[in-house]
Amino acid sequence: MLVALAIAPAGLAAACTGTPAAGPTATGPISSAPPPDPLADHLTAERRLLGSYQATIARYPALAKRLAPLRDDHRAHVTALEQALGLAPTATPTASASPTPQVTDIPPVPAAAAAALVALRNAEHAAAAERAAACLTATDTAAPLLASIAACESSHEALLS
Amino acid sequence: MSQLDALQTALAAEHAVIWGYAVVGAKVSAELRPQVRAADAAHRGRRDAVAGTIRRLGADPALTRASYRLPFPVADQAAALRLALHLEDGAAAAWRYVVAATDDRVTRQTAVTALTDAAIRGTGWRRLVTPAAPTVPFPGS
Repeated sequence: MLVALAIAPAGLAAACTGTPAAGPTATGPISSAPPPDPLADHLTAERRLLGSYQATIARYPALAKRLAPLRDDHRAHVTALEQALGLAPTATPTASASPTPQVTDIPPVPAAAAAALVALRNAEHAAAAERAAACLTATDTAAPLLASIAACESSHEALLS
Repeated sequence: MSQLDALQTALAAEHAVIWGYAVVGAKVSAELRPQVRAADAAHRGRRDAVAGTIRRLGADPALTRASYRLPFPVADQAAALRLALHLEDGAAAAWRYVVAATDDRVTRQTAVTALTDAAIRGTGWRRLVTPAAPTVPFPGS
């Protein structure tokens, strides 16, 4: 019997979109300060990583072609985490070379292109490990998002190796 | 979908991927064959591990099919590489679903690792198929 090579079941796509539903704490301001969402730390880290890519591309334009697709992935991560946290998107111009304003502690770009690539690779490695570890105890809603971001960052690390 | 259903789906995906890599291997050049063999071996290991997990949960592991229908004709290396990419994307989707379907940390760790491995292998094929866009932001979604 021939069976279609449909390796993900029907209906899976709807459950696995890259746009997660807003979490229960994401419905707007309330009078008492809610506990910080664990995803907030990951949003900060993704903004910092995005800033590192933007700073590296600004410093070494010759790397732009290679790094731009990876930078764009991190921009998508930032957007998805903002949506998961119920935040309004930060309307940064897509081609902006300046780091996202909320991030102030972007590491300095190394003084050689090769070293800058190593720094990004190391940052991707650390980021993937953080996201994968957090995934283990995350909610059913947040876990797939964190897992996919971790997987993406591991693929970035492989590309930069 | 329960954890068991999700694991059975992941197993069914691994069966399909292993079948698909045989098709891929027949159409790629000799220099790409080690990459195909490595991917095939990794998926066989994943298949055996998840089948063992399903047995420990008291269920019978899903069986492989005699044959599968290809998503498109695979007549040359270019199509074979697209098929390899399709296989890894499918495996990533199945394992991402396991992540959501289980609260068990060991199972979730296994699923995250399998999703990550599929994303890395997918990137290896994607850089040959679409060099300008070698990655996707949310593997498995």
